[in-house]
Formats: sequence, structure tokens, C-alpha cells
Amino acid sequence: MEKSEIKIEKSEVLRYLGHRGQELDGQTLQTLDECISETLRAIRPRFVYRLFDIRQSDAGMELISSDIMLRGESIKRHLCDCERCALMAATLGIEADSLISRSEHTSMTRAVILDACATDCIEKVCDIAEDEIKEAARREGFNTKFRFSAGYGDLPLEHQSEIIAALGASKQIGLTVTADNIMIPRKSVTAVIGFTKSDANHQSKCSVCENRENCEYRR
Amino acid sequence: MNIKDFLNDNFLIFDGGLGTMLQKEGIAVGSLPEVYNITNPEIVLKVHKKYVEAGADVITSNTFQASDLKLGASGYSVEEIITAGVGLAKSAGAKYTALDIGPLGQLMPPMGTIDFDTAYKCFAKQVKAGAAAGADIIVIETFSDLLEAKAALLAAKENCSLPVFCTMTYQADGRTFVGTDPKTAAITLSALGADALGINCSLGPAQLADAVKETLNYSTVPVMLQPNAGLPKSDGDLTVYDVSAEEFAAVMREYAKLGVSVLGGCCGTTPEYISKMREAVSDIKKPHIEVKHRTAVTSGVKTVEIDGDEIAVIGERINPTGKKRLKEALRNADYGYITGEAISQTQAGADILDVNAGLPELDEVSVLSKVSAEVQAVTNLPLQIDSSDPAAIERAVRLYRGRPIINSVNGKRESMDAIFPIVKKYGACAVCLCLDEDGIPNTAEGRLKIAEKIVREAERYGIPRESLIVDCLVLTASAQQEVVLETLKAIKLVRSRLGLKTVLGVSNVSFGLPARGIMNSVFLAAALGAGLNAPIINPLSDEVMRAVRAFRVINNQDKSAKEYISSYGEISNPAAPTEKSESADLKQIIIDGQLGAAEDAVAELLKTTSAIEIIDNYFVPALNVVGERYEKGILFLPQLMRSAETVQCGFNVLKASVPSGERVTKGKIIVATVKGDIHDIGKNIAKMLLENYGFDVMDLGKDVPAEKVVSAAVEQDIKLVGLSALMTTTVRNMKDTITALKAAKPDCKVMVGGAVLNEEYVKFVGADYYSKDGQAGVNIANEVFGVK
Repeated sequence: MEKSEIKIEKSEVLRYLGHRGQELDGQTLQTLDECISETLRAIRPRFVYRLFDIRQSDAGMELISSDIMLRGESIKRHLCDCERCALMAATLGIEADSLISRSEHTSMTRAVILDACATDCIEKVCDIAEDEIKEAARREGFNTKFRFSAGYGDLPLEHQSEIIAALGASKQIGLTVTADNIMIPRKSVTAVIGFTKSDANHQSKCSVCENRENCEYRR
Repeated sequence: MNIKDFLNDNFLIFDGGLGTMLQKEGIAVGSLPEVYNITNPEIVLKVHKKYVEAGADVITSNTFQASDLKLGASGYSVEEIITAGVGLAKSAGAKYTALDIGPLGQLMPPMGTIDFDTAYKCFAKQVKAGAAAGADIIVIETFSDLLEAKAALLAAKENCSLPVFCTMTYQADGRTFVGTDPKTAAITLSALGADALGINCSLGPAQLADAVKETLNYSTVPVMLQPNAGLPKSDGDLTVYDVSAEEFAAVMREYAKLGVSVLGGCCGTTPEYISKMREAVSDIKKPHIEVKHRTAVTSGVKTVEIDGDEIAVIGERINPTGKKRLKEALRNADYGYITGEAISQTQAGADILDVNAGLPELDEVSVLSKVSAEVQAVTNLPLQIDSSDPAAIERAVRLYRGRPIINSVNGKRESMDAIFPIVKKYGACAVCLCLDEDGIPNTAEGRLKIAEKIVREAERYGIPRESLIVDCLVLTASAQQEVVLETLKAIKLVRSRLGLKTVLGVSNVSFGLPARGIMNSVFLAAALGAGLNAPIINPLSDEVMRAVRAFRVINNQDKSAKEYISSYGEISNPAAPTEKSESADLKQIIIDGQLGAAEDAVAELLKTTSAIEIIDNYFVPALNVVGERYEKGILFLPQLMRSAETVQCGFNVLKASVPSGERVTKGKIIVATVKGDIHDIGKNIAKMLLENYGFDVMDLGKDVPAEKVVSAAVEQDIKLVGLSALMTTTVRNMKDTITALKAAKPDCKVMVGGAVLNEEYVKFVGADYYSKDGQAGVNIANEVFGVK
């Protein structure tokens, strides 16, 4: 993918930074602009995806012709009207991690802002991947549902390593996962996107989240 | 015939994409293909045989992921999978069998959590199993991280006597996933003793042209290439590749003519590709490659080559000799100060950084490696590992990501006997001091003789002479003025008679004289004129860097004087000072977050006010105002941070002025991110705020095991520990840490924070306090230590 396709949204970065209408001084705005360009300069965004037929069972959702069984009620509910899905993984590359951690040594203010920029940036990379997946779905006559990731609802984080293996994401995009299911590079996302014949629903991501009651980022 | 002898006269043809073929045989997506060695051996053997029929000289075993880390839940041991896998490859009937070793699939620090020794142990187990099963060579392939490749290469060299081939995988932008470029990889892996090295996977053959040329140019051993059959494309649920067997073979033929001598394929290359390629190179005579001799050092992502009369600046500041603040930082394991020195030297224009951690009271073997790792995490520059303790040198060089310089060896028998085996084994460069049992000769000729002796001895070890960088040594002008010029003569002799590069600790010349900068820069200019390549200097000194930048124009290194002009083009027209405060009031400076203004204001106040008064009457009240505004939502995080950073700048001035023994602290706190968690920005925010309020914070870092937290808390009699965890999965480790801590030190309070935590989790983990953000942490610390 081309970096030029990515537009980091200032309003989203501010939201991640906990901005709620406070007055923005010139210095903060300038740093914000610098951090957005610095992030775009540093990142090496990549994504990979693959399509699977799926089948519901008691334990969860089975991805046919793979070893993967997505466990839990949340994913079953989410994909109940789907017969296919895309498995995707996206990353900004290790350069984003290193930009943030190196900034922590020189300016924590910048580090905090860069971290928020990268958070929005990986969302934007996922959006680009999702657009491509939607196009693939449309060609097959499907609508798509929102991106559902391990850790949402009761879909276990333990799926991370299986998803990465199924996508060959280590080789393809340099995505790895630790024994504690933390993805490295840090600014990475894996997700399942359901393909459905029914109208795409408008359920929000927040409604399946267990932390919805006390999350400050809830939309 | 031994495979290395065979390779001397012939192209060596490897097989193609084993995974591709196993997928065609219907292996489930995401499953471990290695398990097929035991569950479906006939399928693996069938694939191997097809590649033999296609003309492959070498069959690679189906063991790419056969490490402890990957096989974990498979139900099979490394030995079982590898013994079966190598056995199948051997029975396919090719000339040679390669034990295939891929990366572990997890990253090493500073990016990830798998440390060098763990990685080494995994690889060593695979190597031993493969050698025992009868492999003819070890192939380490598809690596991104040079340090991981180094762990695998050393594991192979130290646990068997088989030849080792090693390939890295590059993206379309010419770098691996972690940023290594082909030149850096070729230099580092050649130096480490790979028997062949090169490139595999990721891209099709044509897209690898630049990487192949760089590798051929910088490798000193045969070059290996195994591209994909083009780029992967999804075709429905299948992955297909966009380069045909004919195109593949045609491009590989061109590379063979350029000198690539080990040829194979990776993803998507079926036996047809290998067969066409074999045919395509059948009428080419293997070209003879002239090995180029270079003096070059590397980090994980960068090469510094000292070519001809070019100069490279070695930053001298990470060396505790005569530096009070650095000694204190080393004793307190305050790596923040040391990394700060690394960053400022990097920004000032150093090319290489010297790292020395020699203090008699410290365990230099562990401290030097630790400092070296911390410095590597914040700079891309190659390092010069500096110690008088060979054991400390060896450990640091072993764990170093790249090809370092060792500082130093000298003409004493004892020194050469201790250091040259390390230089040889790790393929390092070495600073060679012109002194021996009789001291430093007064004459240039005398120093040249010692240099000659050192070179002769190095060559006995098989160390290439261009890895030696000679230090002709300069004596202080205040004590031995009459021999200073001998150094310049010696540099000329070493350059012209031995053809070697030179290094020199320049600042020694001015010892004992006033205005040392003047002396240093003039002597430096003279030494550069005499042929000095690598001055060891303080890059933060404008005077010496001016000489360096000017000389780089004179010696034609700084083409079109680009760097010189960008550094000094506006010197007569200095930029307006950055936002100098109109108000000299420190409190207001902090509240406004005027980063540039705090240092001067604190320095001014220090003339009339004590440090503790500045903290209590300026820092704390101003921070309280800011903290309150933040809590009320009048300010948001970046604004709070900027005020905190402003105080931090002020604190640096205080620290520099107050002797460490007299420092006043409101209490000592440990902070750490728990085992398994590597994201520590939240903890670092909390740390900075706590320090700003006058607490002494000991930062144990990230991914910290429970034992380390407990032992530090007990040793230092700590009253408050702050722990951070980011993921639900590591909250468990937080609970374990707190349980262990409470058992060992019941009076120690614990506060916790981190993205996933909430009051409920706080009860679960057994913490005393929940710190929802850094500001809350300050309130908790004030409560625990009874600060009003």
C-alpha cells in the first residue's frame, strides 16, 4: 500500500489524547502537526488478508480449511448471518514503536502525542484494508460487518497466534505475537470481517465491549 | 564431496517452496507443516523427491518452525520433528541435505521479549538434533533481525561443525521488517563466519536486483538467493504468484552471471521453477568473485564504512573516567542519563559511539552489556565496545546487534592472547594501541613496529588486517611536548606502510592545559591532515566538530559541502531565540509549559535559593496548579506533559548543581511494567511526574519478572511500588508480582495502573491503590509518604 493514501485525523488524535474541548494553545497545535508528519514519515504500513468459508458450531465459528475455531458467544452472535469471512492483519511496522520509545527519552510530551498519532494511523490502515476486503465481498455478492478483533466480547486473545499463523503474517507483514498474546509491532491489528447476504448491520463496536461502562473512549 | 568444495567449482542448486507444495497437498491453513514429518511422512517425501528430480543438489528439511517456541502445543518435541524431517530429506536422494532453521516468530529486545540466551538455546537444540540426524549443512533463512540471525549462527557454529548458510528477507523498500539493509547484513554475517549468505522470500527475483547487487558487493563469502515466484496475490481463497517459471529462470541466470552461486526458490517456486533454473544456468561458467577488503562496522540497521581518506567520528562521552554524573548514573543503574548521552552525541553528528562502563565496584560483565543494549535501543549508530576486561568485552560483543569495534588490544602478549580470539570469533574490528610491555615508544618508528607486531599476530588468527584500526596514541602536550608530533608521523607511517586505518583519542593532547577545546581542535585538524580516520572525540564540542566538518569538505567526503553548508550556512545569521519567557517567574514558566525557559530560570534562582526550596516553592506549587487544572478538565494530557517536561528540564539543572550525597528526596519509589508487558509509556509518564514532585524513582523498566521487583524492594527498603500492566493477559503477572512482594515485604504498598485496569482488577491483583493516571500516582505517593 502507498503511504500517501493514509490521512491521520487530527480530531481523532485529540480524542485519543483525552481532549474534550480544552483550549488548544499554539505550541500544542504545532507539536501535533509535527508529530503527525513524523509518524507518517516513520511508518512502514502493511496488511494481509485471506478469505474463508465459515460454519457455526457449539463452541464458536469454524474457519473451513484452516485449523481455526473462533471461540465464544460474541463471535457466534456477530457472525450468525455470515457464511464467509475475511481474516485480516495490519501493522505500522516496528518503526512506529521505535519512534515512540525513542521519543520517550527526549520528550514525553511528543511521545504521548506520537503514540496517539500511531493509534489513529493503524485504524486508517485497517480502513484501507477493509475497503479492499469490502470490494472483494461485493464481487462475491456480500455485504460486510464491522471488524471484530480478538479481545472483543469473549473472543479470546489466544486466537492472535492462530490468526497470525493462518495469514502467514510473520512472513508477509512482519507481525509477531509474544507468549502473553501481545502483538509486536505494537501498533498492529488483527480482525475478522464477516460476509453476509443480509443488509450490513449498524451494531457498534462498543456495544460488544465488556469495558463499555467505564471506557473514556466510548463513542 | 564436501559441500564447500563442491561450491568452489559449481553452482549449488537448492530446492523450492516446500510450504507451497504442502499446501497443494491439502495441508490445513495455519497448521504446523512440520508435524507432517510424523503424521504424513509420505507426502513430505514425495515433495522432496520432486525437487530432486527437478535437479536440486540440496534438499531442505521440513523444519522451518521446528523450535521449542513454535512446536509448544503440537505434542511433538524438537528432536522428534527434526530427526524425522532430516531423515525424510536425506532419503529423497539429493547430493546434500540441509537442516532448515527459520526465525522464532517472536522478537528480541528492545522490540520484543525473547532474550539472546533464550533464542540461542532454542537454536542450539535444533542444530544438535539436525546434526545428529545427519544433515550436511545448516540453513538459517528468512531472518529479519540481525541479532536473531547472529544467535542462530553462533548456535550452529558452537554446536556442530557443519557449514552454515544464512539468508535475510527484504521488503520492496530494500530493508527487512526490522530495518536491516543488505549491505549491513552482508558485512555482519560475513564477519560472523557464515559460509554463504544472501536473500530469500518476500519478493520475486527481478525486484531483488538492488539487494542482490549490494549483497554481492559486500559479502566476502558465496552469495545465496532464493526468491519467491513473484508477489503473492489472493485468487479467491488461494494464494498465487505472478512470475512464471520461465521468467524466474531467466532472471536467476543473470544473477548467476553476476556471481550468485547458491540458487534456489522460496514461496511459490514449484519443481518446475527449479528445473527451468537448473537448465538456465547449465551453460554458464561460475564467475570468480574478487573479495573486496573494507573497514566497516555496523549496527542492526546501519553501516559505517571507513573508506580511503574518509573520517568517522567516534563519540567518547559514554565513559565514566573523570565524569562524576556518569559514574553516579552507572552506580544507580540510571540508564536514562546514559541514553541521553547517546542521543545527544547522535544528534551532534557522531558516526560511532564508544561505550565504556568500567567502574571498579560494578560487575562490568553484566553492566557493559546492559549499557550497550540500552544505547542500541536509542541510536542507529554502530558501537565501539570499550573495556579492559576481556570477559566484559566478549559478553557485550556477543550480544551486540551488528559488527562492533572492540576497544582495545595492544602489543602486550597478554592482551593479544585475550582479545584476538574474541575479535576472530565475532568478526569484530579492533582498536590496536601502539604500546607493549615496554610502554609507549617515543618515536613514530617505534610505534609502527608495535603496530606491525599486532598485525602479524592478528593474521595468525586469520583476522583480516583491514579489521584492525591502529591507535598511534598521543601523549599530553603539557607533560611530553617534544613527542606530540611523533603521533602525526606514526599515523602517516601506519597509513602508508601498513595500509591500515587509524583511530586516535584526540583529547588526551590537551590534558593539563587551559582552553582545551582550542588545543583539541587544532591537533585534530593536524591529525586528520596526517591521515587520521577515526578520531575519538566529544561530538558535543562545537570546536572539534567544526574541524571535522571542514575537513570533510577538504577530503572530498562531504560532497558539494552539503553537510557543511547545512551546519554553518546560517552561522552569521542566528535564528531567533526560541520562545524566551517574558516573565522570569519560574512558576509561570512551568504552568505555561515554556520548555526552553526553565533551565535559565532555575540556574538564576540557584544563585539565591537552595534546591529544596526551588522544589517546594516553585516546582510543586506550579505542578499542583497544572495537576488541578488537568483533573478538572481545563488542561488535557499533552499540556500536562509539557509542564511536567518543563520541570524535568529544571530538575536537570538542579541535579547538575547538587552533589548526589546531599540530594533531598521525599521518598524512594520503584516503578516497573510487569513481566510479559512491553508497552511502558504510561509508566514513564507516572515516573516523570513523581520525580517532578521530588520523589526518587527507581525504574526497573518493562517486562520485569516478579523476582526482580521483590529483590529490589527488599534491598532498598522500598515503601511504595508502582506496577503497570497493559493487557488482560499480563494482569495475571501483576497479581503474581504483588503476591510475591507482599509475602517478602508486607509493609510495602503497591499502586497499579494501565489501560485495562479498573477498580475490580485492582482487588483481583491485590494492590493497595489504583492510579488511574500519572497525576493520581502523585497523590497516592504523597499519601503514602505523608507529604502535604
